[in-house]
Amino acid sequence: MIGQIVHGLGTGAVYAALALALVLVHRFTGVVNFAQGELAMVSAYVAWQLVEAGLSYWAALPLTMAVAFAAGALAQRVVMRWAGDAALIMTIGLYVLVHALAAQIWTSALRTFPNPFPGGPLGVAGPLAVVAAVLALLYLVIRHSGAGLTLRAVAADPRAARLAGIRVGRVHALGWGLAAVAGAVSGVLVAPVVFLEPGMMGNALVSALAAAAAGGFVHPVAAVAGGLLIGVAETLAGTYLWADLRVVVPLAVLLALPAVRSGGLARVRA
Amino acid sequence: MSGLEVGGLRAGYGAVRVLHGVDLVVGEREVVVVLGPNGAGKTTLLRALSGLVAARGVVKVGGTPVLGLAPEEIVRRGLGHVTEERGVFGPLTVEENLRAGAFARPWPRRGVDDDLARVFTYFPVLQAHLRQPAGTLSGGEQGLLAIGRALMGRPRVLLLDEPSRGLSPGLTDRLFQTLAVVAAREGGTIVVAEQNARAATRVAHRVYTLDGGRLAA
Repeated sequence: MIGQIVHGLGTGAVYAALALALVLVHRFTGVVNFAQGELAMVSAYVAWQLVEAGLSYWAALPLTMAVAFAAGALAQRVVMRWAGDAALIMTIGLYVLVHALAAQIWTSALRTFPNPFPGGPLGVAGPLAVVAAVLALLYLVIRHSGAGLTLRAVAADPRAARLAGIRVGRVHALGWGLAAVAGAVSGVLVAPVVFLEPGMMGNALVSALAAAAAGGFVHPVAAVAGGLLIGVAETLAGTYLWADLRVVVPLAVLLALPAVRSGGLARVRA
Repeated sequence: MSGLEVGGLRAGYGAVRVLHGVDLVVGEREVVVVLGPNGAGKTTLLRALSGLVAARGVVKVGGTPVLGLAPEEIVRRGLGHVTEERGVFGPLTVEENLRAGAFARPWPRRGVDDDLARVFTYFPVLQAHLRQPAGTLSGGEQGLLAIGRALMGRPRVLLLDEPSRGLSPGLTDRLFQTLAVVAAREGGTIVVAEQNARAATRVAHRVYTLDGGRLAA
């Protein structure tokens, strides 16, 4: 049982990172980004290419995060800035576009990704530590940097932010970039567990959406906690009930949320 | 060179014309008050100047034409605008609100701490609530914070929409005395839109009335 819970936390770390990405985009630009998982998938491919080129996993990770930041910001500047009221639909379009491009570049062949973490409980501590480090890094940037101040100002009142001379478009790009960094971590963490292929983030996205919803799409800590909880619940349900039940768990969480009332886990936390 | 030049400014919402050709020239270190009843178009005038409402005509800030630019770009060219809603960033602290105002300045943003200290000399109440979320301030204090935030951008022209709202008559008098000092010391131009003629006109260099979509002295 303990072993299953630990294993679930490892899976949950992936959901937590992706849920964090969803919360960042929603909080700072007001849209749920359905393409977040696909951006993470591309990041995993980038990391894989770097490792194939001879880099160590730990050298590839920060490089991948930098590429992901640029890709996220670019997606906002090139595609999303023109979306206006159709932003939600546009993220679905972005999902299809990125998925198709990835299938074109890397084909749909299954590839294996090296696992940098040892087996056993220590192997789970690894992903958790990576997610915790990224969470801390994002917290520092958002809370204690000038760029973070512009993000929070835009989230609080976009029009007042413009009247303070803040270039809102660039700030939105920054939000997408930071979210893509969190998403990249989820992609790189999940890649050694599942096979590397264009559809690899499908299940994780559903679980991460449920986790982000647990925080009302605005509370990063609640989203991370929700991701870990869903990871554990999925593993337990899959092991002790029946395997196919795993995929139902995030949906059950979504259905249960109204019962926890608005704000979800955030309310419990407060 | 004048701080603000406005010529033939026309603006409105859809088919409804509100401004029918406003002309206004305000020099540096001048405080000008625009009076008019509710609905006369005072707010529309200020919004047109700062790019929040589409307008035609001429608007120059320190000699630079700004009409047609996005609001953030107009602000960056030296026009600060404190709206009637104030628009303080509620979840952010008072200090963070003020520091956000410095983004209106061009790179490199030196002297932000000095500017903070100067804003506190004008509005000491802000220093007392430095680490408090701005949303917890009273309405009057939020108004002062919004003015302080605009000053952090070192504007050449500062537009204030009904700054007396939410303030007692005594505090309103003090605010206008402070604004007179600000204009004199910072060398800027201040345009105040007010319903409340009493306090505003006492420190104003000139008073205009907005009537029928045009300004009259």
